[in-house]
Amino acid sequence: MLARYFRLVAAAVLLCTARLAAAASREDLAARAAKAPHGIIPLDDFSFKDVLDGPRDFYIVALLTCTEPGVGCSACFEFNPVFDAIAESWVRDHADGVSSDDPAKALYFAKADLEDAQAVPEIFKFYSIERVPRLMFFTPDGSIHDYHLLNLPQQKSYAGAAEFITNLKMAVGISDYNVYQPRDWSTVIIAAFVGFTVVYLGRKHSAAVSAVLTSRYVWALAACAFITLMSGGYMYNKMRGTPMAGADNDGNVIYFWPAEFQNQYGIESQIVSVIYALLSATFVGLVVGVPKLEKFYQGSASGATVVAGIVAVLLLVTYVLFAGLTNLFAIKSPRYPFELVKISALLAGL
Amino acid sequence: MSVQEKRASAGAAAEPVVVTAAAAAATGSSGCTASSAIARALIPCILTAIVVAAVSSRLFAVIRFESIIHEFDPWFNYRATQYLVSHSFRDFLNWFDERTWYPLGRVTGGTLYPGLMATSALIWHALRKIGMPVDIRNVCVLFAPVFAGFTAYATYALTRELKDKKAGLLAAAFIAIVPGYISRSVAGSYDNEAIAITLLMATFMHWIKALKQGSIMNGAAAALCYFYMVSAWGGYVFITNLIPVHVFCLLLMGRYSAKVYVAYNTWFVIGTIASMQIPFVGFLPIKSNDHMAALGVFGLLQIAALGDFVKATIPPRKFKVIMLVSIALIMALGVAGLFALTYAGLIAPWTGRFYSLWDTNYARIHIPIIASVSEHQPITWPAFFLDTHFLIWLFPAAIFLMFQELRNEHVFIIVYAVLCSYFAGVMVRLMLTLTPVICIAGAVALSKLFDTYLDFSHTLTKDAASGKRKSFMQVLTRALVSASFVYYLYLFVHHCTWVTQSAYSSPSVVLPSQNRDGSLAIIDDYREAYYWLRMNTDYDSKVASWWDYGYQIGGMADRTTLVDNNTWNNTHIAIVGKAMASPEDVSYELLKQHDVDYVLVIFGGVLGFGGDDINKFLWMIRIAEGIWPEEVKERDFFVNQGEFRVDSQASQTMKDSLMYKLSYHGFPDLFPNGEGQDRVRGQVVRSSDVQPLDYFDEVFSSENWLVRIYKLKDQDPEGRELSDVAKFESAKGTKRTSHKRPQIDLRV
Repeated sequence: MLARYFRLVAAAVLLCTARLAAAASREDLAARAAKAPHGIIPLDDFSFKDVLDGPRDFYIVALLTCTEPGVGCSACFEFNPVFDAIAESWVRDHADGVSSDDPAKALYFAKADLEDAQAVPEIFKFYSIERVPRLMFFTPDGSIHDYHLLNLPQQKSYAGAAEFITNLKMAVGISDYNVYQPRDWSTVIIAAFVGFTVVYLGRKHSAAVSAVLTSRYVWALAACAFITLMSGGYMYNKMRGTPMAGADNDGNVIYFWPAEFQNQYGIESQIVSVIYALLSATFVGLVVGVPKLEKFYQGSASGATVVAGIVAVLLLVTYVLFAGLTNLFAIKSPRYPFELVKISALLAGL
Repeated sequence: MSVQEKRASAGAAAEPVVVTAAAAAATGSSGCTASSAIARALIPCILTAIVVAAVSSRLFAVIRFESIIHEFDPWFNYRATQYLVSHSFRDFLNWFDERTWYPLGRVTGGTLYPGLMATSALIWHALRKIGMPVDIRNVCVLFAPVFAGFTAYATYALTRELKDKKAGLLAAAFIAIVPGYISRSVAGSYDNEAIAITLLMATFMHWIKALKQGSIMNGAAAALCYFYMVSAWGGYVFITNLIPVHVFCLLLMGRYSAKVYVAYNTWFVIGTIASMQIPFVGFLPIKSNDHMAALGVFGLLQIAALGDFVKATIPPRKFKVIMLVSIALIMALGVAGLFALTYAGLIAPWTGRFYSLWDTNYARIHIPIIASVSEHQPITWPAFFLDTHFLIWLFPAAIFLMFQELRNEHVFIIVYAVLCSYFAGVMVRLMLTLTPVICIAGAVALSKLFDTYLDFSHTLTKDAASGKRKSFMQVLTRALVSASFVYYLYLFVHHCTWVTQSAYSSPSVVLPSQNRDGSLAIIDDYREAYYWLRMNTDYDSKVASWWDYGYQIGGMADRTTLVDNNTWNNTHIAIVGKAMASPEDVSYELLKQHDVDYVLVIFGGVLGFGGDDINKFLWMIRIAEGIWPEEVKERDFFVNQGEFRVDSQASQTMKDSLMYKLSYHGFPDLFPNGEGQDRVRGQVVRSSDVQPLDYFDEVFSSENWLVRIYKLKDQDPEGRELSDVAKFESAKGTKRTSHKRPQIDLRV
């Protein structure tokens, strides 16, 4: 009877110590972080409960991400290096994770990555995560179930890290969090290499380079290409980050956002720019090319026929492209009454 | 005459003009030597026809609706013009308006561009002098169409300098009817842009002339036009930068000449000193970085002149050394000086609008008030096509052809085209400055095509070189090319007329709509509500509304507003944003502190009008959050990952916000079972979602509930919180007033 009672107490004590041991201490986390790359504690199946379980006296930012290529989470690939930079910036000044201004505050970073669709980490099931990337924010005195979701920074790369750190500083209430940008040597090397090549080639072939730079046609083509790009609505895509193409209700790919005047897909401006460029080219052909040809063939009867044929082709191409353009416009603006008739419809009419 | 007939006649007036112009190009080319007298007589006739077309195609709005001032900003301009004709010009420049931006007021005389008002006041006085007492409203309404006529002439004169009169006529015809320009110059659109484009073209025309002839007179004329432009539109900065960039390009191309020197210096010195006379501009031309390019090029030109002189006196080898050393010195000194002056605060940094042109994300992050304006959004490709039709694909070709000749004036058009196509892509409103260059370039290109193909003179006479007539094939190709492009011109006219009447001729104060049988219905809720305010409220009462409606309330209702479209004080706008986004008790206190008597909201849920306050609500929240990040949080208004809902799933903060309550107050009761169908958001709002109003009384809702006006309740005489009063009353069982459903037909 007594022995049984003793066993019970022993079990209870054991359980309690196990429970206490489950909640990680600052030193414990700092040690884990020191071992891991970028100072980010990995959340594997065995350790994630130890790391995230309360009660705790520090903050944790945990990232759930997915680098399995089949999933194709581009946001994850984009954000991972940013998260590394954010964590590194903190660890660099605070190896123990404790704020030097306010020792009561400590901050650690953790990450779980779904690398293989066959082996989904436990933590994904534990929180029933369906969307990645997820940024979870654990505050002191909370349990493993109490967390806030943080928004990803709106800006990309370095600016995004700075934005996130500013927000994090406010959320945690610390001031000694400096932003360190990881030096990317590859761009320096590439820039040096390109610079060297340009200078070398420029010195060696200075005549050719200056001929290109002072060539009227180079500048003309560059200016025209720029204008064509702009009038195709390129800046809209760049500023709004529009998707390349969309899908209709049945899941078919559509290239033109129907009946949407204020919106467009990325591919729309590419198609339209190409149409503008071709139309411009045929027009220049008519104004500049054809008179030159006529001069070349001056006096020969067959030459006149050749020129007439070329003119007819250019006109036909202009008409077809312009008809196509008005038809595309009618997709965007369904009540548009002035579509050019398609050549196929014209032939059917005959 | 019925509306349809008038529409037809307005279209018909525009149609023949382009075709006539094209025909004139033909007669001009065939009869240049033989019958130049005919051409000389034809050109004024064609120009007159073009001006008539320009004016008449802008009158759709007057014919279909009535002679009324449009939109938002024009209401302020109209109000200022009324003030100017009833006071002296000196009073006008010293005008302090205490009826806006209450309680701050606005130094209106010092913060507006007076050119527009001064011009229309001048016209009004002149007409009275010759015995035609016209109402000032009509002067303002018809201002833009008349100046569009002048623009057509200025464009003709400018394009004439680039190629010849034939191209000039085509360009004038294009600019007269092109929708990209009509969009801002229909009758009733009494805005600064209405006169600015005319002055833009006039300035450029004189500039090109000054450059060509090295003429001081034309340079001075360009400076005067520039001064007029500065007095009329903030977009003058475009000229301030475009002309220096042009001169800079010429210098880089090694085209320095005495003509460039004379033209630029005349323009810069006179123009800058003159522009500083405008109170709103003041010392900006020598302090703001927006104007530094002009100053820098001015200095560069002096150095170039000195270099030119030195070059003529010393041997070339020495000159090269001197040039290299001095260029390096000047650049180092200049950059260091610029930094030092900016650092010392002597010259202002670039303005926010300027930044947002280059760093396209700048506005979204730093200045929501600029990003929130729909005019400042980037532009999609259909908008380019809608505004210019086939000229948009002629445009790159035209620029390519300019490179073939590449005289100084062609460099100008190329610089203009490249810079402005970028600006227009970033900001919708700058489409207005791009449109003229598209027309000019398109006209030059098309006129080149017609020079080659519309020339049938040799079919009759024998070819001098070979002694043969042109073959049948040649005549046929010429006829084909001409016919197809004349056909495109014909389509262009139809396109322009259609766009003008369907897209750009709505006053937006009065909304056109269709009844079920397809007949035109006019939704006149705005004027109904503003007139109600004018007739039923105290003259000194203060009306709080989102800033979009400030000018209209000031102009139509003549009541004091807290914020308006001038948007000069972000904090003050944020106050209104906070009041709209906060719970009733907080808003009530905030509004009471600002002496507000009435709150006005625009609600489109009944009618299906998308531009209402609930759709603008996010911007109010964002702007308020910029000032009070702890009290207003954008995130609290969203549910599940950034969804913006108004039905039963809406977030509690959303349902508690004043804007939500004012918009949906009594709305579900209009529908059977209390299930309100919001026709804008396509969601169902139930009676249980809309909490009762404790601090506000509904005093007016317009016919289609588009405008809803609430009065702030008086404070309780017993000093209780108004929410407690409401609880007490409802416990007593007092019935709330019920709402009647407005009689509206379904509109498609």
